[in-house]
Amino acid sequence: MSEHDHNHDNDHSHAEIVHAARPGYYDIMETAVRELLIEKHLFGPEEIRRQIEVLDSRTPALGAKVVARAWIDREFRLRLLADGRAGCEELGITFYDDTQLIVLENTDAVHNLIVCTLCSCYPRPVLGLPPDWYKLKAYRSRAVYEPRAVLAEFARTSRTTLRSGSAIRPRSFGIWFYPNVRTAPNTTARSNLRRLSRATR
Amino acid sequence: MTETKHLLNRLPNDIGGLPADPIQRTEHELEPWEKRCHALADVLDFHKIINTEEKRRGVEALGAEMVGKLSYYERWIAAFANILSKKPS
Repeated sequence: MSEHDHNHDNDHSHAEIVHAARPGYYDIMETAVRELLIEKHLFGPEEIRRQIEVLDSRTPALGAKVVARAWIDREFRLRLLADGRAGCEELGITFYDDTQLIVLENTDAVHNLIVCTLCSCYPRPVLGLPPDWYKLKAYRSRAVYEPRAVLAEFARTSRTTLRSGSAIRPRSFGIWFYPNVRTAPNTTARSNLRRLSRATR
Repeated sequence: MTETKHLLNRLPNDIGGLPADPIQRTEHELEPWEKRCHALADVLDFHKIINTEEKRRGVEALGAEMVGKLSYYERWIAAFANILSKKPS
């Protein structure tokens, strides 16, 4: 690769750093594909940089803001349920793709569970990139036929609990939900927001 | 012959309903190239060079062994390279 590419096996002082600095096979493949496309003027390097900044700016905190507003503002909640994308845009959340966003409301009787069995569709503009488990086989395979068992596994590490008798409705990709609007008498939107941010962490 | 029927009925991405292990909640921070790969996918979509469905089918076309062995963004970049190499220049 360079004149510095000689054998470092006996050089323990910085051997690990040299190793880490060497790009992997797929890292090089990404660079090759991107640079070829830029060379062909299909897009400019600044577009990749800008999109990385956009990706970095999206976190579950945006989604939490939408949910909290829906909890305290009935008119907004109805608009959000009618058109999820327009509702989020009202709060200044921009969409960088053409995705339609459907918002589903959990009720005492129905808990919606979102899964993309084919790959990893996710409301990235509103929540950021999905967690690894959402993209892996275990969740995608099992969510559709044993959603209670799946949620029980999450309940060990989060506060997601279901009242007995509630139906679980697995939903396919492109859809997002917001948690139950019903709150205990002394809870506030703020404590609900804290609960949500823990659940989505 | 019927022992191969499932290979036709289910392509490697189509795993909804299959038995699987408990969910692992371990997360990893995206490596810089993985983040770039994601941004690249978005930019390819913005310019209508590769759309989401082409990308999904491109991953499917890698075949079961690669889908099983490559990581998420390794599958993406391999699929992009294959798809782009078949597009008219």
